[in-house]
Amino acid sequence: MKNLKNLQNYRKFLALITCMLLAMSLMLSACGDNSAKPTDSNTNSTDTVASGTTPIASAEMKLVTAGTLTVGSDCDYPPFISLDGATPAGFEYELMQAVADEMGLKLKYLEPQNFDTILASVAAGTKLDLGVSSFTITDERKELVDFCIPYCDSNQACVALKDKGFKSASDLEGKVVGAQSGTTGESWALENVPGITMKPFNQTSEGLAALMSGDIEALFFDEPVAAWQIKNTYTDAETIEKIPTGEQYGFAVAKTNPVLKDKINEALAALKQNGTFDKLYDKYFPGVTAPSLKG
Amino acid sequence: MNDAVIRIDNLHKSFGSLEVLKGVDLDVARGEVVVILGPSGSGKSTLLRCVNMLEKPTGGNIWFEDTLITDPKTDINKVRERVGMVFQSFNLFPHLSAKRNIMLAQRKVLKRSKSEAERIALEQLDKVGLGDRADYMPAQLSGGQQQRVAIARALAMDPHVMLFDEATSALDPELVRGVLDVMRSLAQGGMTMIVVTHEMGFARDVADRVIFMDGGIIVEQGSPQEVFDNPKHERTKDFLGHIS
Amino acid sequence: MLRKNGTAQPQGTDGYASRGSIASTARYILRNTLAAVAVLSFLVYFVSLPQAPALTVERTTAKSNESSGNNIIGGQPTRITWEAKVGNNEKVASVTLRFPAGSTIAQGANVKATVLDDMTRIETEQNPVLTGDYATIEFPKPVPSGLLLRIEVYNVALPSATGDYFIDASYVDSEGMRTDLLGAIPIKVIGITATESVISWLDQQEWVQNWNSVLFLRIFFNPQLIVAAIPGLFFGWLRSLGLVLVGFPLAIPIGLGISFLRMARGKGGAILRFISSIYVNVVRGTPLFLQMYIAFFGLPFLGINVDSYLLGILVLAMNSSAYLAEIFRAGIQSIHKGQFEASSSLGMNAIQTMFFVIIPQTVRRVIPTATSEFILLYKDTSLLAAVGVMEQMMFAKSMVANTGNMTPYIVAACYYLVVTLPLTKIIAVFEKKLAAAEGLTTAPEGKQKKKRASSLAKEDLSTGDCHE
Repeated sequence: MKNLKNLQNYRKFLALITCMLLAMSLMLSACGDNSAKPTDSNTNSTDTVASGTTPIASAEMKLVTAGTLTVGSDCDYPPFISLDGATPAGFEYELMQAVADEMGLKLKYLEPQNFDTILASVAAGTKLDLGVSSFTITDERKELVDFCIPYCDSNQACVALKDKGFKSASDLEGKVVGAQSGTTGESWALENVPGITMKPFNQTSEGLAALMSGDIEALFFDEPVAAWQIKNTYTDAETIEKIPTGEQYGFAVAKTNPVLKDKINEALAALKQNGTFDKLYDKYFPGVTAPSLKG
Repeated sequence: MNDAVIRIDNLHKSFGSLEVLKGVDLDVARGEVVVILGPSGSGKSTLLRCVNMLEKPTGGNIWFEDTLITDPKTDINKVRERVGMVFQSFNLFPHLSAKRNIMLAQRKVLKRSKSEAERIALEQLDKVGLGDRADYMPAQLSGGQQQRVAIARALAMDPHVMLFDEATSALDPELVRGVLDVMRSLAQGGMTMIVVTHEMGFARDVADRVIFMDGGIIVEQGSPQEVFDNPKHERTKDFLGHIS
Repeated sequence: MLRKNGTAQPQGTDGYASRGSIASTARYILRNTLAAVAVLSFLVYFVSLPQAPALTVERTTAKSNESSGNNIIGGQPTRITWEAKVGNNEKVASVTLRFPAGSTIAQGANVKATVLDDMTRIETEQNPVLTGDYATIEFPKPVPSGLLLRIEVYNVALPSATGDYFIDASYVDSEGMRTDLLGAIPIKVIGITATESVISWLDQQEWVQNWNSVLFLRIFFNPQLIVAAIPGLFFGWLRSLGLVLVGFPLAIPIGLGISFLRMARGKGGAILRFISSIYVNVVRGTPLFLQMYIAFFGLPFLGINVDSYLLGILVLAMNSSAYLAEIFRAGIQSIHKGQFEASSSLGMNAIQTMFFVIIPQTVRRVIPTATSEFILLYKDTSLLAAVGVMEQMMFAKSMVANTGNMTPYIVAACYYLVVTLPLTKIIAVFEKKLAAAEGLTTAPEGKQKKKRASSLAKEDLSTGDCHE
């Protein structure tokens, strides 16, 4: 066993720890030096929701990789985004492709990332330019990141197996339910259905698998995705309640990168203008009025 | 045949292609002390280990009292109860105290009561001069003491025969004596013994019969005087010459 | 119920004064009998509702603001959601939500309305006003009937005393008529908890603010979140411990059984050895993570439905049993051959030898490695988070997701260390003891042999069984 060997080399182990501590304290002091000045004026963040970066807005458009729009997504939310083999596909992907084309940039989707970590990555601004994973624009999230203009309207759905006989979300009182971790579906269920036990999942598809296996009684997620999944894959399930929340999706951008936000908004407006956006929207959501793309 | 406790007839033993015993015949009478000598690799330990079937012979027969122990149908554990063995490396159970080492097989094999097993254990420890070490763990005892406990453990089973496999070879010279004393008094008490050893003095003093083995056969046997003082065979002379 | 009649009364009369038909009825009753005064408020309430169902409140909720739990804590900012449906032939020109007395608004407070036609969002112009007492939204184009009005007030703090609170509302229709709506849906608020009060105190401290001004410290060692995470992760910690404290003892007999099969002799021995070696090699040769996925997502396809906590325990036990089997096997095989021979020479049979001689010695020898395995298994409980078993990692993850801060992970790490460090220490002590005991057991020659045997055994133990 590795542990055992470590123990036998107890001294080496100690030495290693000491080195690590030293390295860490060095890092700490370095960090302290760098960020002490700019944050002096910013000690008002008494809130426990810490904004990940010191908000020094840049006057330039910053990109993680020059000439490329780097996008983070969980890639598990059809019809918005899903993986076709190893390549992303879906409404959001095609929209991002159009936006990138409009801006004259290349598009790069990173490996799928857990939904609940994407916004923190966006805020850090070192790995992603944009978080595009059907993010509902909320005030909570706005404390961490900025959002571009909303590109899609959405609602919540409560999905259960048909043979369970649930009629509405209120029938789920005291039951075990699931949602993707960090989603608005998760917080809606916790806020509105008393006494539930919430199981958070990394991926909505994991939640759906758990629903099928009876591990959870119901899954809360966005209504368009619920409709798609029930129609295409999970035909034994049904939406027991559509929950009107009128939420809107937006691309998440680091607060330090307002120019990127503006450029994206311009690109979206242009796509709306020339009909590309409406055509794309109609491809995925036929018969539904496309959003106005106004802030 | 009745006075022979052990009768070995044309015993063969091979390890793979290596033939270690090449037809050994040996009778041991009740009360007899037989000492087996021979250079290492001569097959003397293997012979001893065949007697309680720690090694399975590849040919020949062994009788213990009236039982043919080489017969696969024989319950060998029944025979082993009556054949005590002492090993070069003592093989005490390290997790049990001296007393419990002696009690274990009495309780589990002979089904003696706890108090009886304990009484016998203490008695045997007294006999080997370790009455005051009953509750010591093996690790707390010297090698000589451990070997004496091992002898007591074997004796507690009331064996009809005792086998000693180089019982003193692993001991520091100053500890050998105590073990040999125990063996000597055992022989004087009339115990049937087969002893594999390098202790020539012990062989000369205690043995009723000395057997010299080499190359998997018995080369020569006789009384200690015959073998030590007038060895007939060249190989015996050679071996004894090297020793002394 | 916190609301007193005193607060209901003026609103009742308010509504009464503004409505001619009800007013004349009331005047009539008043003139006739004084006793009717007592009934008045009820009448107003019951009569006015069916007469003017202009706005029906459908939902009033607040989002949990507890750092580690699902309660609404008074005195701490939360988000209130209020939903109402616009009734027949009505148009709503403005809505006012009145917060319970003692409410405050925090920095970044914000109010907005979402208007929905069934499930379709209707873009609606709105002019919000927000104070600590009330929030008003004016709709320049009144909201027509049949639509759902969803008003969210962000960063408002409810009163800090425990109790049920109500959001009273009023609206003005397109003709300028004002109607009051008594809050009927309670919001349960718990008083500030000890944890939250420590956090509030920390919020005020200058050193905390300085500390948090360093990005690294704020993200990884946020004092407020440390305080929040310690109680918040406690139950996750217990659940993780529970997984391994049930799973590991279960793995021991299974592992022992498999180790016996691995050493089986005799006629059927080859088959038993073959089967058990397949089990051991497959389990040890594949990631535990994968095994979990197969168990959690595969079994349901066979119609087998096991409680996920129980299934988690079983998967851990099965996995660990393969490692333990090898540890036990190596342990048993490291026992000197002489122990078997001595037992045999005393007439003990194989089972007696195993139980009274070999296993007691093996136990002492395998305790260090088995404890290491326990530690590994304990850490591996974290993998169960991925398949939806509530345990430490899951608790930490959801706190991290809610706060956008890494500190809960650090606290979770400490919780793991609380278990693993003492155990590691115990292993070290045991090994020292064991080495001492074995070193003394035998005389010079035997000692050498034994040392070789045990070092061989240790090699055996150390090569095979590192987890993936």
